[in-house]
Amino acid sequence: MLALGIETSCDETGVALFDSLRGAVAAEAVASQDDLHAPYAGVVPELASRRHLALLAPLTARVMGEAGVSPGDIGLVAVTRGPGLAGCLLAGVSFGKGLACALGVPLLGVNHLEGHIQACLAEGAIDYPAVALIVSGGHTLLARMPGRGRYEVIGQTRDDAVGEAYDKVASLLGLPYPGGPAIEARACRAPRAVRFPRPLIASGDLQFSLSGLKTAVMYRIKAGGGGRPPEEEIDAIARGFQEAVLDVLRSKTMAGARRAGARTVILAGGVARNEAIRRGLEHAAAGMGIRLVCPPKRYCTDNAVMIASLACAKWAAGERHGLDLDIDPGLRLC
Amino acid sequence: MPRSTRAVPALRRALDRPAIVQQGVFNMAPRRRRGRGAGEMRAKGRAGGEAVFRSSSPGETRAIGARLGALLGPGSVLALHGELGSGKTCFVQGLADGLGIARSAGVSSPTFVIINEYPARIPLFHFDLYRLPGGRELVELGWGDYLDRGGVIAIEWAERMGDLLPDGHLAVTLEVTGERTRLITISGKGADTLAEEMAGP
Repeated sequence: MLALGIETSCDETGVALFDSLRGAVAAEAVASQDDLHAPYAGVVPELASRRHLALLAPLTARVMGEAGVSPGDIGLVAVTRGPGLAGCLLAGVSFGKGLACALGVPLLGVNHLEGHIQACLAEGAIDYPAVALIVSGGHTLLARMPGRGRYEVIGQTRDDAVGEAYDKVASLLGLPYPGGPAIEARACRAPRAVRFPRPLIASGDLQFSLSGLKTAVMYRIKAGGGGRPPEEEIDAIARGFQEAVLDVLRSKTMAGARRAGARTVILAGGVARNEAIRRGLEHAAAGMGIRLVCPPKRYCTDNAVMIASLACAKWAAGERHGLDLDIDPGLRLC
Repeated sequence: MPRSTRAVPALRRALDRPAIVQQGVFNMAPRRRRGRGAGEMRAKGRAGGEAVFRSSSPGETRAIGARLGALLGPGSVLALHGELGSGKTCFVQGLADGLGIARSAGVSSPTFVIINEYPARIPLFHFDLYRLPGGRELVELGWGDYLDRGGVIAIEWAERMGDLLPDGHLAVTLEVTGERTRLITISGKGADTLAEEMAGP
């Protein structure tokens, strides 16, 4: 079956065609912020739902053209129904409904967070139980997975998400947006690291807190006189910040894995693109005799391939939605 | 009723009573202290509609937020100002405590999603304009609807709203005065009376 996936939970507009028989992507497109920022000469988040709406039809036509399929070949329309921004979700779900209605094919709504985990499943069979760490600009959560498609959230952030902390620390350091790649590059070249606190690392539970770490960076900059620190100091702060983040993520994830008796650790979400975090978790998991699975870097950030592929799995498992499908901006993983 | 006249009803009710202008500095911490290791929390009322608090930890910032939250009525709008790391989200976590929202609801940073909603008797709508260039996008996200939903609206980076902020809103400014210490100024019509109420037993 050929599924058309639509992802509009936040900034990215994603459309993809996924062939469930071959288990392969037929074509995909993500309208990245970079493409769209150019005309505005600055960073304008793609928040407005009308921008999703303006992009969905041309992206869909492009994807179908690239895959060489006609509308009649599509057997399922898959949309992200939450969590995310209400207006943005509504744009995708409404477009999906219209398409499903016009094509006379079923519509299936899926959970964006589960989509991120789905992006890992193409990397081979997962041994359960597993624990999944989802880290992105908007989410930081740890879930126990007794089996495929079953989740129990065992930890999440009390304040800032990891990706958000990267962006804000980058902003404090005068580094460009998005902050993840900028900080990673600076950390890589730093010969020394500033020592920062590891919030909640000894809390005994699996909750995260990144806000205090951001504030510690702010104090460090102020102590140096405020303003943009010297380049070498920026590097050292970036490395120190990244080491603190990795330490906390590693400690909580491995504690979660130990408690869950996990055989696999799944790492997903936009921050999973970070090489230091991937390697750090991989190393720690290997030390426990556990395999770390994470998606290829291009599928860590928001995309529609994970949505189409997840919907195919859900469809095969018997899940059905009607055209009365509603968005759920606060949808949880469970 | 025009929006401007009902933005902070609790304050308006307070204003119907004879105003007590606080002189000097008084301790507001004694019995209902919520934060850990609470040092001093002081409120200083000024005739100009301003209440000033000193916080020496995130726990105290949260406790001051809780004191304020407990006094707010439906339709209240709070504009939060302060640099990165000054404690805006922490203050809003306190507001949620004061509104009776369970800690398990997990009030976290809304930077990425722009708006988080927390249902309660008086719901809390937590906005964050950090990623928005201006107020126009906020209108597209349904700002007008939120004003009509009878909740408390708290907005981080509210300076980006421009003239969208309703008359009668309260401004909360968090100033970093040292490691862990913050000067929290609540200003707007009725803030001096509010300082009195927040300091009460």
